[in-house]
Amino acid sequence: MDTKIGLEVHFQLNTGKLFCRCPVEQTQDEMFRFRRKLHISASELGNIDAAASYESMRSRSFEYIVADNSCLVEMDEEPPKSPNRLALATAIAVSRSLGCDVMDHITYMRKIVIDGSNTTGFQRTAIVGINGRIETSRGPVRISTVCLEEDAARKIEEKNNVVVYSLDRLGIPLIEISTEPDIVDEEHAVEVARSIGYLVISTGNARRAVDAVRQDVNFSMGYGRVEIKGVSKLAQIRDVIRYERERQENLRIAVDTIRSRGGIDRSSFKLKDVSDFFSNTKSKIIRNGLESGRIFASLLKNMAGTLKNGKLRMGKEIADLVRSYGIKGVMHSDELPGYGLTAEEVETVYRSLGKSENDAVLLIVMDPARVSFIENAIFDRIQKIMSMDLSETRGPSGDETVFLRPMPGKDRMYPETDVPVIEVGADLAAMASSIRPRTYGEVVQDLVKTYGISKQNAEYIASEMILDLFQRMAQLIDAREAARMITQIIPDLERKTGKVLDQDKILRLCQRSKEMQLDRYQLEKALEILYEKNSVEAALSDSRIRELSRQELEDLISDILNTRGDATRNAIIALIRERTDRVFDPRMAMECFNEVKNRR
Amino acid sequence: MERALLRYRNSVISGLIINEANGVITVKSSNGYNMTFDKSEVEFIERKREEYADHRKIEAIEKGQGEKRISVLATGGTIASRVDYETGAVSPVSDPELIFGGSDILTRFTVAVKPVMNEFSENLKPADWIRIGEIVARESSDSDGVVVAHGTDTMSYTSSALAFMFEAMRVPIIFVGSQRSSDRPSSDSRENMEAAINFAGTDIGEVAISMHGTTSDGRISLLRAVRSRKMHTSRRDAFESIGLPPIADYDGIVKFMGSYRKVSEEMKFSPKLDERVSLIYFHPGLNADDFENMISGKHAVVIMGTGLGHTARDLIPVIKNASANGTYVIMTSQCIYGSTGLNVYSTGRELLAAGAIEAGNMVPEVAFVKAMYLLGQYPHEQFRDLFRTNMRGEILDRDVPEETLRISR
Ligand SMILES: [Zn+2]
Repeated sequence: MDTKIGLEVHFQLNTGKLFCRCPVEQTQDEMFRFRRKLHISASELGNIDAAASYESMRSRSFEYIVADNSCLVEMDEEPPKSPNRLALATAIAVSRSLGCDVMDHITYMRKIVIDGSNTTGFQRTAIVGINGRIETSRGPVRISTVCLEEDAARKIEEKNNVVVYSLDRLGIPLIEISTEPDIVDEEHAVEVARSIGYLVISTGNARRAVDAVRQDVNFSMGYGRVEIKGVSKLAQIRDVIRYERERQENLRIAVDTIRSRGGIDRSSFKLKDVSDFFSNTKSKIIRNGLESGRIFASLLKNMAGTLKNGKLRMGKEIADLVRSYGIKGVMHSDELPGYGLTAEEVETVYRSLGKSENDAVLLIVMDPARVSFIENAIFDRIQKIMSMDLSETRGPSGDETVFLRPMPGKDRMYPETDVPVIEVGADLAAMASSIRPRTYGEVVQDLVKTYGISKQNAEYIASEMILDLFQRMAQLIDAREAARMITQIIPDLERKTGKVLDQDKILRLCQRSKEMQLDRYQLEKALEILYEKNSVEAALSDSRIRELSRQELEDLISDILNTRGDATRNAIIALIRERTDRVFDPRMAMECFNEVKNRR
Repeated sequence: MERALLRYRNSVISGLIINEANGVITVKSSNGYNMTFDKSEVEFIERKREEYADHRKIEAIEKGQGEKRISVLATGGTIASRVDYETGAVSPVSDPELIFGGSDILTRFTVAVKPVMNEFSENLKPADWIRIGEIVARESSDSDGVVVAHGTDTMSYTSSALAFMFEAMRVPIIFVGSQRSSDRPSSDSRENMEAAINFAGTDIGEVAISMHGTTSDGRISLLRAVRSRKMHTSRRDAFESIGLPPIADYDGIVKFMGSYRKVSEEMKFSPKLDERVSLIYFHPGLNADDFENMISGKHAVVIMGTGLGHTARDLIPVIKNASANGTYVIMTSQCIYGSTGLNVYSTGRELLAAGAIEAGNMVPEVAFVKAMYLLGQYPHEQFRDLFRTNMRGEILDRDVPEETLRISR
C-alpha cells in the first residue's frame, strides 16, 4: 500500500484582525475575564462519540481572558465587521502564486467548533482559491484549497470542567493551504511545507511569532487516515511522519502476533477491583492511587509481549487513550514487576485473573465510578487496532505522536449571514497584484543583490524563513553584521542557552544599539547578555558592554606579560578574555600587544 | 433544490444550488463550503432536482412531566433553531425537548410552546400588543405562568403595554429575548428562556423581562418591564431597568432581590389603547412647522427633550396651542437617567406655563405607552392626575444614590 501524505499549512497574518479592527499583537496583560457555555443539540453532533462528547460538552464551561487587542467582536457581543482587505488581498496573491482558480466572490461560512476555542461556537472561514499546484523536486503537488479564516482563541489551561482561553489570538487572519495527498514521504513533506512557506512569508504580511505557522499532517499507509494536528516546526514534520510510519508498521506486527494466537476476547476483558491484593504494598504509585481510587486489573487475551517489547508498543496505545480521559496510572505485564511492585504481588494478581503464558495483564489506578466507561473505551480501541483501522486525530509530542481524539465527522458548516458575500472587484485584484509572493530561488537572489551578503547566508535566511527579521535588522545595523548574527551568533546562543528569544526583543536591541552607536563587539556582547537576562535595557546597562580603552588594554597586557612573559601573539586574545568579561576590539588588542612587547 | 456539476475556470465543482439571482449563483459544494460565482463565469455540466424537506413552520407542542404548566408564546424570531448542514438552512424548532434537552426543565415543568405570530419586533404595532395581551390573558387561565418570546428591539414597548393592560394578573408574565440568534452554539436564548420559565414559575404578579445580567453566561436578571430599556445594540446584557436594580436573578435558582407585586386571585385585563400618540425626539433646529405637523391630530405627544426636559423656545407656542386644543404634551429627557425638572430654567417654566406635563423619571418609551393606555382606558379629564400617579412601578419615588452611572463603569 502506498503512503499518502497531505498537508494543511496555516499562516497567521500581521495585517490586523480579520473581522474587527483590533491589532494582531497584545501589549498588556489581561483586562478581565468572562464565562460562557456552548449549546448544541445532540442531534446535530452526529459523530461516533456523539453521546460522550455531548455529555462532556454540556457540563463544560469556558473562561475567556480579555486581552487589550480584543473588542466586542471577539467577545461575541457584536457582529463581525467587514473582512480586512489586506488579508483578503494577501490570500488572493498567495492563491494566484499557487496557480489556483481564484474565486470571483468570497463567501464566508461558519464551521461549528464546540471546544470553546471560538466564543461564537464556530470558526468563520471562506475559500479564496481552489485547484492549484506547487512544483517540487518529486513532481507537482496539487493544492485543493486556499482559505482565509479566523484563528481560534489561545488555550491557557484546563481545570476541572473549565477551559481557559485568551482572546489575544482569536480573530487573527489565518491563511490555510491544503494539499491533496500527493506527498510521497517525509522529506518531500518538508520540501512542500517549506516551498509554500516562502510564498506566504515573502509577502511580508505573515506574522512573526513562535506559533505563527502551524501544520496539520494527514498520513495514511493503508490503515486509515491519521491527522496529526498542530506541528509547528518544519523538522518536526519529518520526525512525526517517520514516527507514525514506524508506529503503524509495528502495530501491524503486534496485531499479526495476537491474531496468530487466536485474537482478543471481549468476555475475558473485565476490569476487576484487585485493590485488596495490594493492602501491604510498598509501591508508591499504587499506594497513592489507593488514597483517591481503587486498583483495577484485567486480562488482555493473547497480548503478552505486544505491549512493550522491543518495537512493539500496544501498551502506549492503551495508556494514551486512558490518559486522554485524565487517568495516569496505567501499568501492564510487559513491564511488571516494576513500579515498586514485588514478583509475588504481581503473581497473585495474575493467578486471580487466570493469566496463561500468552496473555497480558493491565493494571489501572482510577475512580471506580468510571470503570465501565473506561473498560468499553479501552476494548473499543484495541478492537479498532486489531482490525487495522488506525484512523484518528493525533498530536505531536516531541518527535513522536500521541492519541488526541477519534477522527471527527464531516465539518458542519452553514453560511455566515453577518458577513455579506465579497465581490473580488478591480481594487481588491489590484491590491493583490501589488503583493508578490516569491519562490526560494528568487528570495536568495534578491538578498545577495540587495544586501551584498554571501549566497550561503542568503540561503540560510531564506530556508529558515527569517527573511522579515533579517530585513528589519538590516535597516538598523550593517547588513553583513545582521546576516552574521542571524546565521551564526543567534543559533549558537540558542544552542548554548536552550532559549529562543522573541524576535521583537532582538530588533529592539538592534534599534537601541544604533541609537547608542555601539560597535559590533558591543552589540554581540549585549546580545549574549540579552539571552542571559532577557531584558534589552538590562543588557545595555551591563558593565560588560563597556569597551576596554586602548589604555586599559595596554595595562591589562602588561599585567599578563608580567606573569606570563612567554605569552604569544596568538594566545593573547584568549588570555585577555580570561581576565575580563568586558568587550574589546581584538584588532586593537593585537596592536596593543605589539606596542607593549616592543616597549619591553 | 437542485444539485449541479459545474465548471469554473479549470475547476469542476459539485454541490447544491443555494441561491441563483442577480447574475450570481451560490453553490454549497461537497466540501461544505458555499461558493459564489458570476453566472457568466460558470458552465453547467449537469443539473438535477432533489427533494429537500422544508421545516420553516413551527407548531404548537407541549411536553414535560412537571406540575407547573408554563405557556411559551412565540411572537417572532426563533426560540431555538436547527441547522441543516446539508443545505445550510436554519429552521425554527418548537419542540421543548429539543430546546431544553439535557436540562431539568422538563422534569420540573410542563412546557407548552405556541406560535402566535412571526414578525420582527420592529414591525409590531399597538394592535399586535393587544393581540398578544389577549392570548396571554387566555393562556393564563390554564397555565401557572406565561412566557412571551419576543424580539429585543421593541420588547420594552410590548412588555410595558402588557404591564399597563394587566392591572391585575393571575400568573407571572415574563418576556424573553436573545441578542445572539439561536442557531449559534453561543446563543443566549437558551439560558434566557430557562430562566424565564423559572421566573414564570414564581408568584410574581408583574410583567418583567428575563435577559442576561452580564456578558458572562450563568446569571439572568429579571427586569421590571415599565423601567426597562435596551441600552446596547448587541451585547447580551443590553437590557437595564433604569434606576432600579433587577427584581430577581436566576443562576440555577431564582433569587428575589427587591420587593415585587404578587399575583392576584382575579385577573383584570383592559385591552384598550389610543393609537393617536407619538414620541418625538427633539433636536437643535427642529422646525416649528414640522413639529406642528408631527403632532397634528394626536391626543398626546411625548417629547424627548434635552437635559431636564427642554425644547427650543420657538416650539413653545406650538405646544401651548396644542395643549389648549386638548392635546397632552409630555416632557421626558433624552438623558434617560435622571428626572425632568421644568422649574429650574426659564425654558422649563415656560413649557409648564404652556401646558406641558412632566414625566419625571419615567422612561420616555414607557411614558409613550402609558399615554396610549390612559387615553384608551380612562376619561380624558383624569389624564393629568393618572399620568403623574405611579400605577405599575413606572415611576421611582427616589433616585437611589450610586457611586457611578452604570454606563461609565
Ligand atoms: Zn476586536
